[in-house]
Amino acid sequence: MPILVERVRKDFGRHRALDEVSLTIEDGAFVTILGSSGCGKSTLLNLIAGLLTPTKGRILLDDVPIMKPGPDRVVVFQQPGLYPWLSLRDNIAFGLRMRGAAGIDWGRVDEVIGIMGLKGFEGHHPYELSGGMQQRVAIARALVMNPRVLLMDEPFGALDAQTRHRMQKFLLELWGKIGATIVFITHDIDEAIMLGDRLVVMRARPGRIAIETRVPLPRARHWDMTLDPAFLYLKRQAMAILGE
Amino acid sequence: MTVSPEHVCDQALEIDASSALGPDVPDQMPSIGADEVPDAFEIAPRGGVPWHHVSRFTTATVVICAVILWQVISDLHVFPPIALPSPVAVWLAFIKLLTKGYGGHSLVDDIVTSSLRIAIGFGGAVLAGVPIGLLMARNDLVFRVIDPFLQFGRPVPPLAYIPLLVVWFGIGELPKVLLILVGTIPVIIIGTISGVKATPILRVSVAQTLGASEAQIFRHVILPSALPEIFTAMRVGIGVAWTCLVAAELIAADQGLGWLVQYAGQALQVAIVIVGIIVIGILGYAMELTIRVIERRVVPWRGHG
Repeated sequence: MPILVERVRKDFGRHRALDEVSLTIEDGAFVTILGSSGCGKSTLLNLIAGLLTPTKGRILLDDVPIMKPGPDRVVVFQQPGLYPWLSLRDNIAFGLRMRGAAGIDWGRVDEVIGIMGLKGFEGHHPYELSGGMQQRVAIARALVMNPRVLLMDEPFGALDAQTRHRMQKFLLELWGKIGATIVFITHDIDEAIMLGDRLVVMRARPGRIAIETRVPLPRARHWDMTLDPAFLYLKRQAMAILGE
Repeated sequence: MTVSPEHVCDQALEIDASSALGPDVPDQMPSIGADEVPDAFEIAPRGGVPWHHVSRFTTATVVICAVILWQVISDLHVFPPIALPSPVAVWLAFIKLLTKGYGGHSLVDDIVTSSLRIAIGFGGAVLAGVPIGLLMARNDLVFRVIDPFLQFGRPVPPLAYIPLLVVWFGIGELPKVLLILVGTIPVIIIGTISGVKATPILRVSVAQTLGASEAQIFRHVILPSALPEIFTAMRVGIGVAWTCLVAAELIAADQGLGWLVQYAGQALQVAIVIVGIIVIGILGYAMELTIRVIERRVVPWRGHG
């Protein structure tokens, strides 16, 4: 079942962050949400995560309104938010441990460590890792939960350009393997178009969806595609909305 | 992605930094292998000698100069010897205190007595203060019940309680331990509350989205996040505890370092007074260092975010 966002409004005191936002996110889709800062895109993500509740309207998953956070919708934030007192392996197993200490499937943990290219660093603590590796641990910590939906809030925003580039490629490969739905927030136009198979562009004050469209590029993405006419057409549209 | 280029790159940078120490200190830094991670940095000042060498050297120099100056002043008889005994006289008093004791106790007895009072009073303050602080941070009702007492008790110097404690409990062990407890517990409670409040929201959000319950978040996220501040409070608190104890012993005791200083002072045994003061200072410092060592064991991530 898809995630249905139905005419959602979110106010923070007098400030209206989101208004009349409706969106359907199909199972297994890779949806990128693009917008300048302050357009309410993170608010939308936090609503889907259940960290916030809508002022008006509702958000449904499997026809059930989302009321609180749950491990079927794990969030990867801009900052890794790792626990400095835990080793890399224990950080990744954190969610499983919360389910019950007896139930930790260490095989699964090690499998994800392998997938994320973190082998050999299991005993390291977060402050011994580079920013790119820390963010990979954060993604691994989400993946190990086998989430239906992976919510990513500018997860590469704090990384340097090269690391960011590598992580984007890696995320696309990963998505091909795991088949989870990914909702990916970014303010970077190229990143939004390159990664998503659906693109949502938001406008600010109050946050609304300006366009929602399929990205007409073949699924096997390659960075040459940034020169593709279809890419450039979408980019020009997005730029017009973002006012760049 | 089996290799992590970032990490290799970090190590390369550290190797550069170590070689930049220069030829002055060829054996200071072990060479770092490509597959081992250095766990401490050495920062080299301009001269090429690591900082901790410089600071140790400076400290030792200052202490030695001060003692020499002291000896010179007392040799010149600027002050009467009874008021300012020389370092040599103080050293002899120290030896005498260790071997024969003074006023019926040896110095070791007084140290043990004072240390035990601290251990019980301060230990009790931590054992009670941390849970109280956690409860207050977590439960608004508990906060409202306890906070008025805390706010009232805080501006009262602990020494003001001494007469009351003596009237109620005499000059035995109990009033001293209670004074330490009363003086230290607000520091511990306030530090614990502030540690809980300082937990980054992100850490809590992450745990929520991973399915942790409220109780699990408290136990696995908030408590460890508060630990560094709890340790800071303990370091402040041990100083307060020591001050309280020595003051209590000065006024009402028949044993302990504070008593020793007071008793010797009344007999104009200034050398013994000075020994007592030095021992009190060194012990207080040693207690702080002990907590620092424990802190490094328990919260090794401190300062690394």
